[in-house]
Amino acid sequence: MKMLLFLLRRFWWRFTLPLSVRRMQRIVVAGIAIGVAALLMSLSVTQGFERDYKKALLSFNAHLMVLPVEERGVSKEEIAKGIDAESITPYLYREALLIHKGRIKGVVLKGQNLPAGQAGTEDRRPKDEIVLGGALAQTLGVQKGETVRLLLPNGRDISAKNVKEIKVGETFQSGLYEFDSQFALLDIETLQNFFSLPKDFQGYEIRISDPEQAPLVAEKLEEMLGPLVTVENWIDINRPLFEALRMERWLFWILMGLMVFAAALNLIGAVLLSIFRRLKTTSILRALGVPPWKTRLLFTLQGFLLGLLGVVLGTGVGAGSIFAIVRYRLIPLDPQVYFLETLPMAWEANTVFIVVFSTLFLVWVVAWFAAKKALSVPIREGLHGPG
Amino acid sequence: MLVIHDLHKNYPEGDQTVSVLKGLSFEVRSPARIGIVGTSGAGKSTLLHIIGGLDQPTSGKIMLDGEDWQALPENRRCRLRNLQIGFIFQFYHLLPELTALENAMLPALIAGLPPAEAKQRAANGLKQVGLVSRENHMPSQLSGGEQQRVAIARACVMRPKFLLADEPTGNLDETTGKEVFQVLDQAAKESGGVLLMVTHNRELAKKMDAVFELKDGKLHAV
Repeated sequence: MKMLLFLLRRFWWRFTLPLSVRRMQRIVVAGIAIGVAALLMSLSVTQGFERDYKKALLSFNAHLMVLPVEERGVSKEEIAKGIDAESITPYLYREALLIHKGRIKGVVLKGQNLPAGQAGTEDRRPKDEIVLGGALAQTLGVQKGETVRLLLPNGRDISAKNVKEIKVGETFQSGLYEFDSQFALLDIETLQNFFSLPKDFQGYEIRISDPEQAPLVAEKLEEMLGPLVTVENWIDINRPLFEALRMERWLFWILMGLMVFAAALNLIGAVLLSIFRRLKTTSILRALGVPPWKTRLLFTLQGFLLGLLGVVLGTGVGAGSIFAIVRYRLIPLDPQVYFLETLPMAWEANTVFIVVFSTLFLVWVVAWFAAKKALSVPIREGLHGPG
Repeated sequence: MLVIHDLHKNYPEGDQTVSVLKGLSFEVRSPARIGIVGTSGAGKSTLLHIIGGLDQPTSGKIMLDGEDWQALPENRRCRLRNLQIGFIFQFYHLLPELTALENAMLPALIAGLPPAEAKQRAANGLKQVGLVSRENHMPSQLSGGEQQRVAIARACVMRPKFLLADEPTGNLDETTGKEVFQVLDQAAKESGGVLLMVTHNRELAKKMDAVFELKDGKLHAV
């Protein structure tokens, strides 16, 4: 091995190969670098979307929801008995039309115990206030302290008793445009009163220590609470979104992976050219007693080094680009389309490891097959060849 | 000891087959300096390449110190070539990426010797061939005679039992050729092994212990 490293160092640093061969090597390195950078960046986009969506979803919604049922009231204590929950809070969803200064918008009203002060306090926001999503408030042109009207779908007719006036206490930003543009929060008792619902008609939002365990905990709760009660979890509710993201990630893997593969195939040409230009050198080494497998390994390592250089450069370019895009928010998004304001990107060590390792493996295999050519020319013929 | 028995080598040439070696048999014990002369195309280089394992015979047997050269596995044959055979080619065949010293070190590195020892051996070799001051020069910076002396130092670095020289002075002018031959001759005497030198130069061949002419595919004593 020492001999191979000795030769590799000399071959690498003493530029005896013609300029055309070195140019081709540079093109191969650039191709692999671009492929790896593109693969890392596209995967980081899908991971960024997934991370930000999860974060926003979990900041706005609980991990599990016990849906309200008319036939059977479920108590907080009953739920707490069966699972180890971090928090269990009542909630209720209803739909209404929000009207302000001639503008009208369909909204989802979420009733809950709205905290008024800092986290950890038991204070509740005044019952006659509503908290609007930031984008919703902007659409309707509502300011804090103004009064809006809610048209509730109660009964068969639209009458004055179905219109409620309520003061806007605050606006919120969840991080997801979908929530910020459609949701309004108000006290659960107020919502029950608006819709003439009994006080025990409410569901429960549950937070657990490990959100990824939500489907299992939901199953357990359903078993415990009986057939009338439905328990939903955040993973199942958002499954189409995550499936779409997962599919997108696979597509990126395949498409960008093909790009890396094509770049790695160029390595065959570079290795073959290097072998051809060093036919005499190869034959001299073999004449001096270097066994065939070591001769092949020498050229494999040369090709592999080119690939390694490409991977290192590509990883560096990818990391630098991701850092710059995230740090300086270089790519703005239309939140009405993507629900996020800038392109999210996530740098995950596992993904980087898989991309780097699989590319290096591919490069090694390609170089190993190409290097077989080094043994195809008989020694005595190679001694009269170039290089 | 080198024993060659009933060696044949045929080359395809179009639809025909050309026989270069036709049942050649030969035996030589160390120490010996043997010159092989013959016309161009007689098969001198082919014989040397087959003895050194760089080419395969069509049939026949070559025994190097009791080992059947053709029956050995490839890796073992490479090992033996590295340890027991030193090649000197007409066109020197130095690696252009390596300095004179590094070229001379190469067989020792291939044999797996520690780099320091390989360097020491190579430096001694270059000293013996009178190239101490040129050890850090690249082959392109050396004259033909100097390159051939580096090749001799390289061939001798593992102190091989067999030195195979293929027209070692064929690419040099007369004076330089004589100098290089003296260096080679000296190296062969010091090694105490077998020197097989293929040459066109009958004057140089006469200075060997024995001279054979390769004619009609066989060796004839001159």
